[in-house]
Amino acid sequence: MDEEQLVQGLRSQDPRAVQEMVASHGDRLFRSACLLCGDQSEAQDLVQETLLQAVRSVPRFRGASTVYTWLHGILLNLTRHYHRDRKRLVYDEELARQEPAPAEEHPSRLDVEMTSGALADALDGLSGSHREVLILRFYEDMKIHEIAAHLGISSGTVKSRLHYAIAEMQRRLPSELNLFGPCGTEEKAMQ
Amino acid sequence: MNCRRFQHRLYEYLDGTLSPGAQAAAESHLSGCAACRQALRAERQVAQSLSDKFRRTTDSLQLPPVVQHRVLATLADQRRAPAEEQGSVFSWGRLAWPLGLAASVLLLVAGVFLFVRASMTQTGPAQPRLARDEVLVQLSYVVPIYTFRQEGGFVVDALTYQTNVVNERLAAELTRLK
Repeated sequence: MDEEQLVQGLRSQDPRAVQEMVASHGDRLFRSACLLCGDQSEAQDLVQETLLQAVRSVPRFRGASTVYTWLHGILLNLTRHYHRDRKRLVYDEELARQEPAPAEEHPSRLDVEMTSGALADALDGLSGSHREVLILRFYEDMKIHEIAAHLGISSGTVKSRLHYAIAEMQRRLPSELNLFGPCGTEEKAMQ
Repeated sequence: MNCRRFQHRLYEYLDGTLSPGAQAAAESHLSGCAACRQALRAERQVAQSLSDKFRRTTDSLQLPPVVQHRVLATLADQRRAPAEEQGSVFSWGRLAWPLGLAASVLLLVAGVFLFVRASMTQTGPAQPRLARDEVLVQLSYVVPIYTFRQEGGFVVDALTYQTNVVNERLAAELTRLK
């Protein structure tokens, strides 16, 4: 099923088209969602809602981008709401908290291995807008102008956000995961 | 091209989206500038490093099949939703204006009815005598009065209100409401 047939099938809510959409893009969307929100169960919910919104809004899809880019745009919007809600939740929890937070704060966090934990922690420390450009650039392999179009911002803003996001990741990652290699910090300082 | 301009366009150089002229200028600058070559190496290393880390972290993740089942079930539920239920929601929305208007008219009529009843049952010396087919309608209105007066070298303004009450007899077909 090519993209045009997929879109046609989604317009008529054909279950085979929905299955095809999940089979073609589900895993990639899920991985991107995990990086964006840092929590697998939340990522699962976000992808589910993305797929449902896609089927509902497919009549408005004009084919100006690939289906995956369109789906990812929906996912980004939903993730922004998720981060806003989570900030509010954290604030409420802090107000109500009497005891220190329990140790198992993120039970389904990306803890595939040590690198994953450190990476997830570093990503978690970034602002939403910095996390977005980093993931679009280095996970989705988008070019600068593509990120700008995807986020509706200028290329200059994309580059500026990338610069700060990389610097922040470098600061937050442990030294053994240095982004610039063993003497990377020195190399960067030389520039 | 100097170092500043090259590093400003570093991402576009990496993306291969510079114009042919700018690309040639960048290559020419790079061949003679060790600092910019180093900056380019560092940027490639960051890209490789982050890309590897993101992939290593997420490669084993797969969307649980339950998500597809839930999406299909939700869509099927929506399709199965009784047409009349959807219709009724739509009708309520469409009928909001007429219903609102009807409710307003009903309230107005009820208000007049209650007022007429109150007037008919009122007793006392101020109560005018009404013929059999008459009703008493009492209207009250407020008139704002804005006055100016001179006090010495100043003009002083004051706003007061006067409430007027008017009783009118109406040959009332409204009495049928009784």
